[in-house]
Amino acid sequence: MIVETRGLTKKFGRFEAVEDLDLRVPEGAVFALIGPNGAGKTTTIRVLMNILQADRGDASVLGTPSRRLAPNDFQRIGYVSESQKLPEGLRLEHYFEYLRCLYPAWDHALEKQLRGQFELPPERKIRHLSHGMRMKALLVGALGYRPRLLVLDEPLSGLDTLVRDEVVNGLLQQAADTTILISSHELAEIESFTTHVAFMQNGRLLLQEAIEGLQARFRQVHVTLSAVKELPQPLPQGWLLPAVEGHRLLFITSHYDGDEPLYQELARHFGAVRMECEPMSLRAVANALMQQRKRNSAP
Amino acid sequence: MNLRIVGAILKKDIRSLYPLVLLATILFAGDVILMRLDVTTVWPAFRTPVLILAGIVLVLAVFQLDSAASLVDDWLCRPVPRAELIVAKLVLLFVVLRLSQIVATLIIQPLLGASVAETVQRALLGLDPDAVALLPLLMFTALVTRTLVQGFGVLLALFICAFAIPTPFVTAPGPLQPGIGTALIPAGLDWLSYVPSTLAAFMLFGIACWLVYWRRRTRVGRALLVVAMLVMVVLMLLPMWLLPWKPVYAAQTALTPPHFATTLDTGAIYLRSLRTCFTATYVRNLADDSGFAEARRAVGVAAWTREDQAESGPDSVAFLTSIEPRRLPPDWRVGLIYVEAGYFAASSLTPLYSLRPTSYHTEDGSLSHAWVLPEHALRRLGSEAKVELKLRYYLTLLEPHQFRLRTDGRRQAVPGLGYCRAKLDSTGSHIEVNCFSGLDHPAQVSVELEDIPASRVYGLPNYAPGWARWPFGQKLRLSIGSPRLSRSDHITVTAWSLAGYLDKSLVLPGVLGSDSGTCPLPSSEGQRFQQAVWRDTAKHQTSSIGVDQGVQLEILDFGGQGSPILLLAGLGATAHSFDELAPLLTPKNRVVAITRRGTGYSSKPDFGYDTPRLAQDVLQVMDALELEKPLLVGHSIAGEELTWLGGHHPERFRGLVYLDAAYDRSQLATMKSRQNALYARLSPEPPIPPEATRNYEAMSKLFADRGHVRLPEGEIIAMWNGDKPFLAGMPRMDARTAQAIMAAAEAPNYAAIKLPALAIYAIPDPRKALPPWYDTSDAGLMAALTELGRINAVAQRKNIELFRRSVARGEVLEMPNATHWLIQSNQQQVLEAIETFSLTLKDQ
Repeated sequence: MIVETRGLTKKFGRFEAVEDLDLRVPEGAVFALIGPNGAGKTTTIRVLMNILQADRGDASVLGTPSRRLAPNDFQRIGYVSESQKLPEGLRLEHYFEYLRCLYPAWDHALEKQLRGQFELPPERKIRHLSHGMRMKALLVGALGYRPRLLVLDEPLSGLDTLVRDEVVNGLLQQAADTTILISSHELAEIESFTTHVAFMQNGRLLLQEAIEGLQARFRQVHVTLSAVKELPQPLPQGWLLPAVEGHRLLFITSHYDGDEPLYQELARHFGAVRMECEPMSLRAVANALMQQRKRNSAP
Repeated sequence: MNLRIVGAILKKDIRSLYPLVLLATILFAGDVILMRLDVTTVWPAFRTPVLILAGIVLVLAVFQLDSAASLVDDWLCRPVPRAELIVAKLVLLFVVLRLSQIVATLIIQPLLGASVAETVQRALLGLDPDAVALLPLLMFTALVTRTLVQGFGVLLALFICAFAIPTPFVTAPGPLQPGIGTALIPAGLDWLSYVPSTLAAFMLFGIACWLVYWRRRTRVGRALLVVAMLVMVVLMLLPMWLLPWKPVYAAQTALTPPHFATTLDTGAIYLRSLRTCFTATYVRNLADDSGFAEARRAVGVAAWTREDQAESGPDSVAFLTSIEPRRLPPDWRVGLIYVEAGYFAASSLTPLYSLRPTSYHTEDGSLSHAWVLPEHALRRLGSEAKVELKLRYYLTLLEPHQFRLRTDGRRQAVPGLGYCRAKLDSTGSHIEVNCFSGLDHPAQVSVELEDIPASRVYGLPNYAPGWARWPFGQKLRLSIGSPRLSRSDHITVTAWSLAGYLDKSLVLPGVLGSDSGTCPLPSSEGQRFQQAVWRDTAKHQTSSIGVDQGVQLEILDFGGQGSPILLLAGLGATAHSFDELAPLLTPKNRVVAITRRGTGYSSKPDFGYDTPRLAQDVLQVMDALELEKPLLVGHSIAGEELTWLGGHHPERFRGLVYLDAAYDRSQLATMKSRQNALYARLSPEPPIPPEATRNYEAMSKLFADRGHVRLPEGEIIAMWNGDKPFLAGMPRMDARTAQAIMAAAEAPNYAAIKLPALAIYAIPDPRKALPPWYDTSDAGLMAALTELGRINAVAQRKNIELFRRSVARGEVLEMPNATHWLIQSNQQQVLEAIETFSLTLKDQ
């Protein structure tokens, strides 16, 4: 595991931002950390980067405990954050000049190529860059030295579609050599290239899994019943958000294993039925999970 | 240390902040230039808050560029080595705050005429100790805050905690309060406050850097800032407020050991009280007792605090002590560190009551203090049969190194001090002296008009050891008033070095300086002595004549018929010197006596004491009174006016009579130090006991007992404050004026005197009894007396011969068995000599 946390907990006063988090990011993955605003994604990332220290539990990055991350470890870690504070008065070219001094492994050719690709104006001051250009510049600043791990905290929020595509393309060019940990509250924009996903809500991890697996086992199920029936009690395992409306039953299964077994199960409970299964988008899965969680925690 | 990275960070910081960096550099460099060139008065008024503000903004901005307290700064996730980061920040601050000043100094000083050595010293050693003390706290604040606003807020909070809270507790020391208070500063020991506090601040800042940058513990860092603030305040206040004098003194003597030649005999040095009884009054009378207030001003005791007075109770006794050290090496002096007083029952070891003074005054050689004895202590002492007061002084011994400095505004190198320049200021009312000490560390610096030691002005003492002072250098600005007292174009600058420490005690009987019979407690009316008993009953009419701008001279007209005689008194004496002699002359002459400016009831301006001006004063009086060709008779120093007038205005006078006055006083400077040393070796006359000040009879009896010549009552009142019980014995003349007159003395041009002139010389009686207070078994004293007698006799002989040779129509009369005050001691002989001489003039 490139990044691993065990029981990570971080509190701000009485507010538990992150609670008992067990995150595992395998090497080479493009790992998406998804969750609504306030879920604890940024806090988790900051703890990983040793910007904050956890109250309980531990985290390790590239084999080093996060608390012990030394300046030199950051030669292999790239970090881009939406709220990153840069030397605003510096011109872009001077900023990259500064970065070049810090990283012996800096690839000047790569930097030039990316800067051309992103069309970054060298003589403009950082404070005068648009949001999109700023994120692109940050990305170059994180990619130039070919880090082993790239951590991106909400890099795509606030970008228009064109710029978003540029950034994503830029990222993808590196995906082969780098492990990427990217957080977002917007699924659609990243699901096309992520390999793993983790959902967070209210500081807790709802699930973390490879996308294929996820897509394989979640299905939206529409059932037409022969008669008005009631929901079986207890609810079968893996059924989420079941709703009965007259002769129709809607639910989501997280244990989909093929049409046959599902039909059998439905028949067992309801007799003859007509069943339709739809694969779900990541967003739909996320929403379902979050809604289910809300329902569970409601009194 | 990767210098490339330091350079990259520096470049980034400068590029990010270049407007601020540029402005601050110009500000700090420009400050140096403007202050040196001294072209405007606007900048010095504003510079401190402007520089402080610029410094704060710069330090905060530089550190907050890569803030350790932030969660979003770029450097947090970059391989920025912490050591290089801090070094880059410190280098930037150094370049803007200090290097700019060094370069500016290196440029401007040579343009102002400074030598290479001085320029380099000023550049490298001119640090401001206040800035150095506050810098670590400022950097500390920058470390733990994220934004400029936060930084200012924290600084404001620290300022309030540091100053607003402890300040009410740090006051001048009262008699009943523990601790030292701000008295530490005039005692030259404030380095014991500053140095530990500054060192601690730097250390804690270093720890904070490590905590915040390496360990990422910002909250602990913030807590440490509060701790650092408390530590600094405590260390600064500790010597002042929490510790009594003894440990502070011990620290001083341990950390700054003395350097003096072991041949110095400090055992011979002793203390004596200048007054028989301490000037005293009840605290409730302090506001109304003008005599006490006058006495307090005369010894220069600074104002008291109301708290001292309130705390002790209205029936407490406030009193003044004046002590002087004797047998110091010539020209040396002492500086006070502290003094403690205790009342003891006879030969007991534990004090009945201990006192601390309410105010200090240590400038001129005499150690004067004001004390308050509370009511309850007074009662306790009253119940004891015999009490004594033990005064114990902890002193520094200071050795002078003098230098003559031209007052032309050009800087000169002063050995043992550094570099000084002196100039008369634009209004002509002061001589401004500016000094810079780089590598030298004088304990104190003083400046004075040449040959007028009483005009001396002192800088604050600083007894810090060299290692605590070296980075700071010291800038000094002193101002000598009344520059027209001296005609010289030089002043004397003295660098005093700390030669050692003295711990001396003085034991006096009774509560107020002597037994309760001699020195009783203040009477309930607040007055001890009747004042009405002193009268000037001589037969003269007093008037006052203006002779110069704002200068009036006292004239005593004794009346009489006949040719006029004009009498001039000696140095510090007044026309009343002649109160007894003058009436004896009036049967045959009109007699008028003049009190010279600067003494008695004449005006005391701070200019015009050179002989030509004093002579002009005499002519003015003659014009005003329409005196035609008087016989000019002068006593002692009046010889200067006589010689000058005789040489320049012979047509205005009938003749001259020198009453032990025809001496060449211009050579005194060369003989001065030997004679001074000998005079210092003589035992001092005991102070005047209070009974003697009751009336003239009592005083005359005292004079007789002591072998002094009796003076006229009017003279005792006019010159010696005889009618003021608290001030009796203190001359009514400013010492500076006397010294100015002596300094202006020139070699007498006897050859120019074409008038008839009679010089009477008082030849002392070799068998005259010694003053009763001399210890004839003291071999050193006897030897000094013998040598002094020899020196004076030789000098007198030379002057007699000089007069004889040089004055064309001169006559010498040697009067044996006479004293310098021959107008009293040999009155009849003097009278006859004058009358005889006057008759011979008639024949011409």
